[in-house]
Amino acid sequence: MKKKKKASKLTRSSNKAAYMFLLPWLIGFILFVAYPFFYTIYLSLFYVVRDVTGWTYEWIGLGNYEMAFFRNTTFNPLILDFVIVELTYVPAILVLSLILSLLLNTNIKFRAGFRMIYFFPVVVLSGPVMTQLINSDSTTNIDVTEIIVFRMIENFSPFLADMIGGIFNNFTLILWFTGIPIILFMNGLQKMNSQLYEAAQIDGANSWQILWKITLPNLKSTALVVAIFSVVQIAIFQVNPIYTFVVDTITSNYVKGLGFAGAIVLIYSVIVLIFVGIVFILLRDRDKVIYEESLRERKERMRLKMIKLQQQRNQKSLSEQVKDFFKKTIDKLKKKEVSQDDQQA
Amino acid sequence: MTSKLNIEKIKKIVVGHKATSGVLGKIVVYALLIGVSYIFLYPLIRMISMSFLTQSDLINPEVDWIPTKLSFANYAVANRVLQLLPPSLANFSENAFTAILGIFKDGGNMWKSIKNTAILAIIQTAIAALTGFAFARYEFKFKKFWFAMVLLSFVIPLPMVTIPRVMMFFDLQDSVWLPFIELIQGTFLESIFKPRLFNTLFPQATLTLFGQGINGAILVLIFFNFFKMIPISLDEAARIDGATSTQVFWHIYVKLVIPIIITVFLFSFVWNWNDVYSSRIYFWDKNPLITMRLGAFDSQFSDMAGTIPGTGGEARLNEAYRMAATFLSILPLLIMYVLAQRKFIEGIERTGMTGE
Repeated sequence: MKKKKKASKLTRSSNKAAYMFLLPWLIGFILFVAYPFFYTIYLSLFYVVRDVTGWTYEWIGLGNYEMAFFRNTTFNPLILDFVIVELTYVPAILVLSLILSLLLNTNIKFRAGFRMIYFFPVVVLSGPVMTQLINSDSTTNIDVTEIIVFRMIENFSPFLADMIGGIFNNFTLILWFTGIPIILFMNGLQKMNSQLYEAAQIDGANSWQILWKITLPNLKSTALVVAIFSVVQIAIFQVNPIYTFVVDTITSNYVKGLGFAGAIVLIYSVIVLIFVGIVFILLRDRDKVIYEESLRERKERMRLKMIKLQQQRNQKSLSEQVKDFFKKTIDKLKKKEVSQDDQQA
Repeated sequence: MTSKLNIEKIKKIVVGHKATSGVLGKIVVYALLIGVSYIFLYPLIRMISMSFLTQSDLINPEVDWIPTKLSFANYAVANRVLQLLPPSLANFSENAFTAILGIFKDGGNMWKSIKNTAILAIIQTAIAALTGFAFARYEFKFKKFWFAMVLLSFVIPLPMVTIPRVMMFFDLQDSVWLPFIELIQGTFLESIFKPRLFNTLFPQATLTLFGQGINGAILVLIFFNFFKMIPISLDEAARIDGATSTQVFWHIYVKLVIPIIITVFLFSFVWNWNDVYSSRIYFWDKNPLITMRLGAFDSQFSDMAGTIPGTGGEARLNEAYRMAATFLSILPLLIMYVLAQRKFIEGIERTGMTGE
């Protein structure tokens, strides 16, 4: 009894100490993340203005959303642009950073130097810098619009051509987003179990097969992190078409009311969260299930093996039994012969 | 026989038994890596090259990369528009004494940006260390829940929580700060405190103090993983000797993790420097932060050119000025990166975001 009491006291004190360290973040989270999150949803249903007396609320239901979708002419095209940017940039970032990290992970010299070059955009990447670079034409160094393949795609579907053109026109920007993903992928590659590769090589797999069957499936969890990171990073970046609109509605909210800004922000956030959800569903780690399945299979195989072994053992004993049986019968026969001899005698 | 062997040998050297071990594979890898490096660095090189071009060089079709003569005129203009150096230094030749005194009065936007960013970064590093320590070293109720919340706070888009934050700071200003200012009116304190909370660093500093600075979750993760790597026996030994939690934290962990503190500080500095969003929302337009000034460079330039916007001033604006200003605005970051690039890359590796 005494011991139990002591233990609970100890854990309680460690609870206290832990929450002491956690306190600033905890207050911040509740006050500046959790409460605002729900308050924004609440706000979006009101017409809110600030005047001399303070904040005045007026219930208008879904009026703000109606205004955003149907009465505001700029918002809908911006949403579409935003979705296209996310749809094109995130896969491009994933693929490019994966290729670069695979290249960097081979046996090459100056790896540290290359890594330094690829990581430097992380340090300087900010909205105004990027805007100035784009305005001064310092970022476009590939012009795809003249290439015949691009013309063919354009004839086939202008929408697709727009997306591809967007990737190539902003190729530097996309590359500049890959700084952190490359490091994450390289880290993931180095953590991978080298025995897997050896086993595959012994089984006669070539590099291409190893890449598709071993490397990529094992990088899935890293890819999930990279994709979520990219979605969030692009959403809050100034070059993104909806960003300026969102920020302007927040800062100049007295005209249309804070509730309208709330509605806009909510729609925008829902889109971002939907993207995070899609990424999560697509790249969710199913390795554990596969592993469990393989474990179960292995167990089953082992069980079968054991049964076989036992059967073999039984067979062995059977043959011995047969031998014994023969021996006994021979003995009996001998005995009988002996007894018959005795009787004859 | 021998020729066949030679051919196989050559084939092995050129192609290799793995995709990247032969000469051919190596050449392809290097070519790709160098090509991509060029695209990575192209904007930077172009920026630096352009920032030295004069007006006539820009028009001259023969000049592409290398300016005809070296001149820092563009940088002088960029400095004037962004007000990087203390403004009193401009009339240094006339009155050296007042010019130097002026430095203390108004240190210029470069100094102010570095100061503000450093303040935010120091606060953020300290709070991230505390939070990361709590998660790495203690078992407490709802630990998993709160840890999930750390990750969630990174995924929630910032605009989603911005409006109530702004409203809270307005309320704070109205109900607490203004009465306080009225109270201290007439005393010597009046000159120290500003009558408004916006247009100061206060909102951003408050948010950072409560762990909600820019990319705070990543910094917490870096600390979390690093603290977890330290063997717990060190901690236990100290506790057996009678150390309290605070002493353990200070004497064992903080002193062991100084390298990682530097890494987190660098990251925090860089992200706060580039955090235009929070600056725009909470600091409004008088922010001395250079990246913010750069965003308003075009309008500021035309204002200072002394003409009506859209006629003369903007017309005189050219890429060379813009590039000089851009280069100056990222110069502190580039210097930091060149000096401590190893730390930056280690920091991201330490987040442990891969695998978990």
